[in-house]
Amino acid sequence: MEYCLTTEALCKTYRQGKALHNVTMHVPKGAIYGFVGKNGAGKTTLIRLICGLQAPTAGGYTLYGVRNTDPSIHRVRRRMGAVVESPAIYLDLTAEDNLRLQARLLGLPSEEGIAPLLELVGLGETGRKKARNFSLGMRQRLGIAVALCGEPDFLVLDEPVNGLDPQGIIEMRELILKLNREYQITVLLSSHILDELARLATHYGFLDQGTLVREVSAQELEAACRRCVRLTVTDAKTLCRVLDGRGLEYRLAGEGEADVYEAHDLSQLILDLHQAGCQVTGLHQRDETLESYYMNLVGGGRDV
Amino acid sequence: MRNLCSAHWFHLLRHKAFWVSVLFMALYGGMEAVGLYRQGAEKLSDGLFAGLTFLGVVLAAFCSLYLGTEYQDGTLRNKVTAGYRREQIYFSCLLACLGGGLLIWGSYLAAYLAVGLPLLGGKMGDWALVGGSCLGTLLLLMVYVCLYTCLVSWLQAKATAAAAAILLAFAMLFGGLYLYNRLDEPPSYPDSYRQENGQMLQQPGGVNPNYLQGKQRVVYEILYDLLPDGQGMQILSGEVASPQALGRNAGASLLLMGLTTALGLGEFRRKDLR
Repeated sequence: MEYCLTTEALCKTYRQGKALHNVTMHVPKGAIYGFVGKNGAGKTTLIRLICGLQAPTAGGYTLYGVRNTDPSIHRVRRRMGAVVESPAIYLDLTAEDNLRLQARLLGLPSEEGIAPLLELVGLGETGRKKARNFSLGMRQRLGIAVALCGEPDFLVLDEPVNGLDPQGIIEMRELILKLNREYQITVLLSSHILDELARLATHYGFLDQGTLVREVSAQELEAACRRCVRLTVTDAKTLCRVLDGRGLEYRLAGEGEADVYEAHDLSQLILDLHQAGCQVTGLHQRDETLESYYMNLVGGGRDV
Repeated sequence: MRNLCSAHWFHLLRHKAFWVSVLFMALYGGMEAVGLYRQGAEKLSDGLFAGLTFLGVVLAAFCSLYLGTEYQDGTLRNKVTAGYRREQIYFSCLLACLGGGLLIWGSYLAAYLAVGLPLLGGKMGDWALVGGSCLGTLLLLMVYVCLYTCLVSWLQAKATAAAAAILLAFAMLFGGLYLYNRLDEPPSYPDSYRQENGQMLQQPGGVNPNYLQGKQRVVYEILYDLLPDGQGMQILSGEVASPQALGRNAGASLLLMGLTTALGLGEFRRKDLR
């Protein structure tokens, strides 16, 4: 698999303490990589490092095959667009002027792409309105437009739906999906709105207290989060024999425990187990969402 | 680098702080010309460099507000993410402020000449002095820009940087005035006369206790050369006609520019940007 970004044991320490510790992650090309973590987990710190705003304390990263210590990393970074923490826009300029300035910065030969870009992010009608008079959602979209100015292959978005209303969240989601599907842009986005991330991401990285706890693809996560019934029994061998006999998919979860998938006729199953001499001592349904998966992974309070 | 400068120019020409500075200096230039005419001045060159009095303060406000926007609005991040190295970004900021500063100074000159030429005529004073003052002014402008660019790279927060820069500008202005006055003290007072009870009484002169001499004078002269507003005072008081004075002035300016740029660039390269 080809990776757009990989990090190897990336560390960042500030005076206050360690913000990132040995983070090794892989962002596949063409993916929408969702970065999940609590406030202060290190999501923004990681994004700052890969955007070149700060230098790692230890470890490194590779962007399109170029190491961060390589002098040519600056050239490769032009394939990236980023919105880090808050949109980096000139508040005293209009949306169009912000993009014209960015176009000059990137040395783009013409400004023809500016009007379509503004239409793409839904800011085509802003006219001479200065960015300081924009709503938060409009500023976020302008920030993304600025990031898209150079037609990047890789887009980094730090909590893009922060402060957006429900309509704004939907529009942002649709924009990200469009960019990924129609323009083949790889997207790395951090968020703590898990429900929203679940609708977008093809890969997930779970960050907790500066450490990458797990990295999974959406398919792996779906498999892990499937609805099942957890049975606790007195005789695991008998359980396996009965489940195999009924052709049911299951996964042993521990001593005398199994997660049984698609167990539609529970009553008959329990009867069969009883007749085989195996007693069911516990039964509960598990319907894992991304949220519960995350909570099981990192533990702690309900708020991400 | 060219693209960076182009982007800076695009923003500079739309920045309020720039146009307010231009307007202020243009008004000052026009008023200076009118003021000199009313005083009966005969030479156009009498007020050509009077704008230096406030140039430091104006550049402090302009540089700190313009560069402060880059830091505060986060647009500096766009330059880093676009793949520019820290040195390129720093020098492009420096060049943008220098260009802006030249235009701000130019607005003073343009307004002064536009009003002064019809009122005072085209008579100039000593051309060597005028030439030396022009060069000195250019160097001084560069020193101010380097200094305030360095200051903003250390402070970054727009309001803090603007407050610090303006306070520093006033401190240097008063410092320059103080040094000028102290160095201008005569070595002795001449005899003087006063009238008392219908009689003329002579008061003998004497040594001026405030006159600086020896090592103390040397220290004051070094500070006078090194302080940007000290250099400004030298230009205003016509002390830069001779090659020696100009050479000292230029040397001090280059030293300050080098020092402040090294400090500012060093800090900018090291700093974690948010």
